[in-house]
Amino acid sequence: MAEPGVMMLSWEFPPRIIGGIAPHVNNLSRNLVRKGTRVHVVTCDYPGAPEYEEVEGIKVHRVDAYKFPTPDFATWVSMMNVNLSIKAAEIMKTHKDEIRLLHAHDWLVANASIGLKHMFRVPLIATMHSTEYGRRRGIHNDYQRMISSTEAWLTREAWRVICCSNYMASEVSNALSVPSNRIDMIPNGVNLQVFEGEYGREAFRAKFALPSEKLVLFVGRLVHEKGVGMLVDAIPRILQRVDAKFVIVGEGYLKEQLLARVEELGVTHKTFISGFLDTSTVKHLFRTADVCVVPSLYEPFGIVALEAMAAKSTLVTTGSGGLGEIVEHDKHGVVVYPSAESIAWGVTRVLVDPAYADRLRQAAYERVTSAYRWDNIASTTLEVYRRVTAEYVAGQWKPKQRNLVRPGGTSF
Amino acid sequence: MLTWEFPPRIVGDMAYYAERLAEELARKKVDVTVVTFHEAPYAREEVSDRLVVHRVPNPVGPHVSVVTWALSLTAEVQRILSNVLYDESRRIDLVDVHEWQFVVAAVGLKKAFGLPFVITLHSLEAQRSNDSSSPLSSCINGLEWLGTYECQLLIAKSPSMKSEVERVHKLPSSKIRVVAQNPQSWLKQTLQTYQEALRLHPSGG
Repeated sequence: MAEPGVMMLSWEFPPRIIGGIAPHVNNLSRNLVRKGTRVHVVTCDYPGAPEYEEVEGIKVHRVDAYKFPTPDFATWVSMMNVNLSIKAAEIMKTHKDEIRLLHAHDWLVANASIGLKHMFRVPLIATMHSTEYGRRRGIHNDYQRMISSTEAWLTREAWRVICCSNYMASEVSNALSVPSNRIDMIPNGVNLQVFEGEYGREAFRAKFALPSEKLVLFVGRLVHEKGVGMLVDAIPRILQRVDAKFVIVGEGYLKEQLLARVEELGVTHKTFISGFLDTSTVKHLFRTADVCVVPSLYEPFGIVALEAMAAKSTLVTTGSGGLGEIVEHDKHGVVVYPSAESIAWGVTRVLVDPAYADRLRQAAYERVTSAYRWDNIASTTLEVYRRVTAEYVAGQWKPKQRNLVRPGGTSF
Repeated sequence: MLTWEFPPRIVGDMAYYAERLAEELARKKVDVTVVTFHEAPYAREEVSDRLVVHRVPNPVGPHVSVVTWALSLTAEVQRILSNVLYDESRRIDLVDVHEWQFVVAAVGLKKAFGLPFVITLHSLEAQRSNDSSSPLSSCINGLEWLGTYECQLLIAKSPSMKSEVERVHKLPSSKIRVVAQNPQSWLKQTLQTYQEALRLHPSGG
C-alpha cells in the first residue's frame, strides 16, 4: 500500500540553513521517501537555489520569502507565511489525491499550515523543535507572549504534536498546555555516513594539537546556556594532571569574554577559540578529539552529543535537558555537575584512563546506531502518520461531499 | 463577505456600509455569509434565512503589529468559511472582501475552492498613512496590492478612488468598477459587478 503523501512546511531547508530545522526536515524527508512516502517540502527561497527541484526524491518548492523591510521579525514571519500559504494552496490543489497530511515545523509556519488544514480538510501534525518559553527562559514581554501564543495555537490545531525529547515534551506540555497524551516523542537523529571515510587523521590532528597533547573539543554557540564558560574555567585544573589542547568551535556574544578569561588563566598556549569552522572540519574534529565536552545548562535535545557519539569521541556532559536522555553516566559517557570542578574531574577521568574511555565511546556508538538512526526515526514518524490517517478516516471531520462548489447557475 | 468591521463592532463608516450591503443583498434573495472580527468567543448569528453573520476572535494575542493581527486572523477566517462550505448546505459563489485585512483569506479560498473574489477598497494605505514608506505601511500596501492583483474585479466608491488605485497599484482601469454611493443605483451596480466577476471566473473553475 502506498504510504500517505505529506506536505512539510518549514522556513528553512538546505541550502538555506539557519538552525537545526533544515537538517532535521531534510533527513526526515529523505528517509520517508526511501520508505515509499511522497514528500513535498514548501520552504523559503535561497539565492541560487531553484524554485522547484527534486532532491533524492523530495519535491522541494521554494517560495519568495518576502524581502521588503518589516518592522520586526514576527511581522516578517507573517508576511512570509502569506507567500508560503498561497504557493502551498496551489500545490495542494494540483496534488489533491497525493497529499493527505500536513506536517508543520515550529510556529514560524503556523498561519499558513492552519489555513491550509481547514481549506483542504487535511490533518495537521506539528513538530515543536523548541518553545519561546524555553528559548527565553520564561515569557517576559508582549513580543515573546505573541510567539508563545502562536505556538499554543499551532499545537491546539495539530492532530498530534511531535517533540524530540521527553524534556521537550514536558516543556511543550507545561508551557503551551498541551495534554501529554497528544504528544509523541520521536528523538532527533544523526547521519552516520558523514563520520565515515578516510580523512588523514594524523595530518589533520597535527593542525590542532601536538602529538603529546590530548585533544579536548567543544562545539556550540558561545553563549551562556551552552556552559562554555565553565569549561574554560576547568582548563587549568585539567592541565595539572594531563597535557591537553582545548579546541573551542563556535561564535557567540561570550567570545571576547572567553578570550580574556583564557589569558587571565594563563592557558592561551593550550586553548584555541576558533570561531566558525566549515562543516567538514567540524566533522573531522569530532572524529579526532579524545574527549568531547557538552557542558550545556539548557538543551532541548542535544544533537551535538549525538554527533560526538557517532564520531566515536568520548563524551563528558552535564546531561541537562534532552542530554540526560541520551547519555547514561558511566555507560555512554561521563555525566558531571554543571561546575568547573566537576567538568575538570570528568575530563581528567576520561583522559587518564584510555581503556575506560574506549569502553564508553564503544557503548555510545552502539547506542547512537540503534536509537538515533534516521531510518528508525522515519519509521516511527510513519506510525504517527498512519495513526492520524486512521483516526481521520474513522472520524466525522473529513469532507462529506466531493464537489463543494456547484458550477454554473448562480443565485444572483 | 469578508469585513474586519461589522455592527455592533463599529470602527468607521465601513461597518455601516457592510451591514447595509449585506441586508440589501439578502432582500434581493442573495444568500449572504458575513465573516467578521469580534473579541467575544466565536458566534454564528442567523439574522435571517438569507443572512448569516460569523464573528471570530483572533486565535493569537497579544500582537506586535496590525499585520500580525490580520494574518493570524486570516487562518481563522479561512477556517470558518471552509466549515460553511464543507458542513453547511449554504452556497457561496463569490467572495467580496473589504479592505486589505482579509485579502489573504480571499486569495487562499480562491486557490483552494476556485471561488472568485471582488475586492472593495474604501481607502488606500498610501492615503491613510502619514509615512507610507515605513516598513509596516509597505507590508499593508503589499497586501492591498495582492488583493488588487488576485481579484476578478475591484470596486471603487468614486472616480477619484479609481484613479488613485490605478496610480498606486498600477492596476489597469478595465479591472475597476466605480460604484457611486447613489441610493438609486449602488446596489444594482454592485450586483452587476458580482455577476461580471462570476462570468470572468465561474465558481469552482
